[in-house]
Amino acid sequence: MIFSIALREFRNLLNSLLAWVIMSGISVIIFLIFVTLVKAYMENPNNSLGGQGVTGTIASTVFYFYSYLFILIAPMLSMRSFSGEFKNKTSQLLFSAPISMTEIVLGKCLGLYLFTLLTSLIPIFITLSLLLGSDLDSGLYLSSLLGFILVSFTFMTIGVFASSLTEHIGLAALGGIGIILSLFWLVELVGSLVKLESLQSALQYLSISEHAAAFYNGQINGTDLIYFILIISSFIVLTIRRLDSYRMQH
Amino acid sequence: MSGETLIQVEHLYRDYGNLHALTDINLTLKRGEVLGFLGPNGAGKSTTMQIISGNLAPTSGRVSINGFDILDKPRQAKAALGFLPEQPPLYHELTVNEYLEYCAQLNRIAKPYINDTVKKACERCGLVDVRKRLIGNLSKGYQQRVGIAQAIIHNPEVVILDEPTVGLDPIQIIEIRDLIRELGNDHSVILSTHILPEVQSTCDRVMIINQGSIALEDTLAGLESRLESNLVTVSLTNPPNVDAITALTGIDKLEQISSNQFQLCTSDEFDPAEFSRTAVNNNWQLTELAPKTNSLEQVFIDITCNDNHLSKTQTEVATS
Repeated sequence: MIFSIALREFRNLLNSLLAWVIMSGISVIIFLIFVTLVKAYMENPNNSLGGQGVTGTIASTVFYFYSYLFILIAPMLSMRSFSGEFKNKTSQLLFSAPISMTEIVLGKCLGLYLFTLLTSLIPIFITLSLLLGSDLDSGLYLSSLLGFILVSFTFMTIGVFASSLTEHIGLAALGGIGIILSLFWLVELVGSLVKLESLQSALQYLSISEHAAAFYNGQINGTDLIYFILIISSFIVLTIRRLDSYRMQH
Repeated sequence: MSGETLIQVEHLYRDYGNLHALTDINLTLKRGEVLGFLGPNGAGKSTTMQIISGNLAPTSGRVSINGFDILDKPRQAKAALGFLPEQPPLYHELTVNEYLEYCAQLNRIAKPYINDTVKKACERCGLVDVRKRLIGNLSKGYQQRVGIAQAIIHNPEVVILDEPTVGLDPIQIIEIRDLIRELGNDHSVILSTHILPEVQSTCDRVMIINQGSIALEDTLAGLESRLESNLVTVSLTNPPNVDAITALTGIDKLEQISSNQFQLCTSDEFDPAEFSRTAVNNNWQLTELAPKTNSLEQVFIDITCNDNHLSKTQTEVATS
């Protein structure tokens, strides 16, 4: 059941013009970033950003930038997931079918995750081209990829939640970007402004970027993994709650 | 199988803030019954249907479908339910086939049966020729049929149709009415509409809802007995003196419509056979003898118009 909804969501994205425009945009941007990084590395291999050879300076950095792009991309891909259904009244089809809210939300998220994996083929292919002239540190490469996947799944889930809030598609995208930015970055910024040290570290600990950073350095920490699993599941639960209450007030 | 209760709605209330959209709605529907749900715009028809279908939560009250409570056991209740909302829930970018396959999956039809199920639903709703076309490119009538196909695809015990014949041409309307009657044989159907002849041609029972509460609940036969009146229209090519007609038994009042058409207000003793015999014997040249029935519209208006409105029109008549 979950898979039918997931597959439908995935196919909807494949059928939408927006998704393809976004994908081609991604390809161009990622390629430009990649070329710039390769050029910088060739001119001065020792003065690299991450300082961990080709994989660290180029591949991990590409994934790192790509996760930043997803702040914008994820809400745009997920904005229709519920807003569109509310707007076209097709939500009634889901709500009167013998399926639970949990299955609906999980199905939608899964479909979007699937599409995320498809788009991540772009940076994977581009960075794997490094193999033509160099070796890659597979451990570092895979942990960067895992970091990117966790971050993008988080953003997608937040996008789905934002989409469940309103039937205005544009508002859903903006809301998603807003929530992501607050969690990714604003929490950390506010944290750095707060004088009280315990509050400061607590706020910084909430930030997504804080937990993502280790993956791009090749570290996979249990706490970071748990953080991402927690944040993804909390937004899934929030979406389910929101849809349940949609029936009350609407 | 017949006689078992498929839908039971008890003391249903629904408020939107201070507005009481529904007040104490009760209804039971047995297998094989078709219930017509009538009411003016904004009376609460759609709200009731949305609650029965689980799309909207009631403020208080209970809905059970096929013996399962819609809030406690939503999966079992919804498995027995097919719902066509006011606006059919269609994905315009899918073909009819793709859409119905998805609906079959959502209704937990096992994979090997999906093809057959979709085929059968298409045949029942006359969609065979358009199966490969995009729903967005279909005419409104065909889209409506796809909506109905979606509601009956899993052969549910209970089918709820919210204004199913809107936007259809007369031939399609007849086909859909036949389909509804067919569904009524082994399912329970709730049909909301404000097209009154539709109710007369398809429903066993009628429920009129007005301002959020039930104004009338009756069988169609009971409703039709309300339509009978004591007026008879008579046309005579060679009419006699008015007094000669009123002298006959059973005629209380006579109103002359034109030089040879009359409207008779009759009592129970009036015998049409006797009247025609008299007309023939006296060479009145009877050309029309027709009982006049109240239209369903008239009954509907009587029930749904509130007293304020009526007294207002009466005073208007009095002053003019």
